[in-house]
Amino acid sequence: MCRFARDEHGAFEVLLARYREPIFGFLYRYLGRSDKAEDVFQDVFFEVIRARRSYRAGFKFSAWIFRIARNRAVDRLRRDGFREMVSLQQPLDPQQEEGEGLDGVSSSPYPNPEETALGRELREALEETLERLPAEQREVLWLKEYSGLKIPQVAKLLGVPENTVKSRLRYALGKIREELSRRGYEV
Amino acid sequence: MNCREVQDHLVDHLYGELDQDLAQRLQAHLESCPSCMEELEALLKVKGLLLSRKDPVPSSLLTQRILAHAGEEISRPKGLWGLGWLRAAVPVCFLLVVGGWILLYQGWHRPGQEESGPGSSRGVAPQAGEPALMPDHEAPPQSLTREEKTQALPAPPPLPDSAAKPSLKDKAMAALPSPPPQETSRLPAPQPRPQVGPHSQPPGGAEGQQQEMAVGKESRRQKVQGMGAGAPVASPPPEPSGDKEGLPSELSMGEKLIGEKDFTRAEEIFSRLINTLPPGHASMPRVLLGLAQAREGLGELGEASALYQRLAGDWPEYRELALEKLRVLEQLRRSKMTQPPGP
Repeated sequence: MCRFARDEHGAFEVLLARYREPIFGFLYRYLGRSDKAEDVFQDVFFEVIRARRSYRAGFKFSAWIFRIARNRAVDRLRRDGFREMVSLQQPLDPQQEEGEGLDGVSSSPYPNPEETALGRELREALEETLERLPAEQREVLWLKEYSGLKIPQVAKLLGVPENTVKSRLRYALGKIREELSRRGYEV
Repeated sequence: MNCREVQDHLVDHLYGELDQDLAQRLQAHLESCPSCMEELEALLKVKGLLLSRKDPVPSSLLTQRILAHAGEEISRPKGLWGLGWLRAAVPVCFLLVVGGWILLYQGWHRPGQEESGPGSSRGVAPQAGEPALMPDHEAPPQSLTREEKTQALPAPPPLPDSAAKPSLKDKAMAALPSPPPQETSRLPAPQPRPQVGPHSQPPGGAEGQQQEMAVGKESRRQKVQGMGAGAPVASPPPEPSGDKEGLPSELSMGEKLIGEKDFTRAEEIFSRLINTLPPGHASMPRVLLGLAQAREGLGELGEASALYQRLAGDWPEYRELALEKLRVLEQLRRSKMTQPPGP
């Protein structure tokens, strides 16, 4: 990031390559829709570009960009009023499964040959379970999974105590386990 | 450590965030407590399930748009607080200095000023013999009385007065109009803006051109052109032709840099490729492999592992190679963990 702050375009390409999938994944999970995730994703990186000279060298870049992403996602949710409960139960629509969706968001293009019907059912059950988690647990879970930040950094980003982050993670994972067990999956 | 303490630290352990001492104590408890071990294994399975999900990725069109925007922002001058501001400030400062000097000079020489006292611009008129706020060579004319000055007028003007005043004016006049000729002299030869992507805009208007005349800007812009999206790496230049399979020549360059152990530049090239190639491109596994090798070379083992895992999962023909690499990385990681912490 320090190199990008000195206007090295190549450094920005490295940053984008590193963070595009985690940031997009986080936004997609947070917002629940790929078109919204796409809008906010662009806003996040435009903000990084705009604020590059104000970036403090000692600050962890992943914490900075995920803070921007989280704040932008919160703003977007507030603006939209509510989260539209779509798409997560069907995480990738058929067009996306084939490559490129109408909104320009492509799914992972590589079909998994080992995916069985059971695997698909399990995935759907997992997505449904995730969707039912309380928002604050979901938020912590996605931040932890996608950002690679440590628990104290997540706590700082969210402005909550570390123990709160830990307990939210613990409850979230526990609920997923319970729900999948209840549905007959061995977890 | 008892079961309750283990429960408190289970999440930290799950994410590998326990310090070595606590981790050892927790491990010791887990080996003797089946229920805690079962709990941990279940949470590990859930975590594995979460990791196994496939998320959508942003389209290459979107990333290219962002790269193009970055290119435009970088090539844009720094604005109010940058060099453009300094350029505007120089003539303003000259004007202020010259104008202030003229006003002061005229104020001191206004008829009746010395007599008026409080009416003078300084509040108290300078007395004869009082040191004036001027350089030594300019002092004599100010210390003259009005009669002396009027007597002196028909005669050739005193040397300091006639020498100083026009010279400053000349300086000001010479300074003020000087920027425009420079601008116009540089304007006809603007460098073409790099074509940074499908959404790149035509070169900026007069504002952009004017600001690009700042000192040092030209060299910086040339550098940006060299490194802009869509442009080849500045140095060394890419091979002029693509390789046999029609793959991007940058790919060959990146692989060459890996061979030369120039991982930083290799990472830049592979990052650019991964941002711009469509996900299903035939070169994608080579790009992933190159990026993983670059990050491995840079010591970023976690990120390299993630890339090798993706390679192994998505590209069967690369699975064996990627798994071998993962084994090597795992050994490296273990050897690092077993090393005593540094001072």
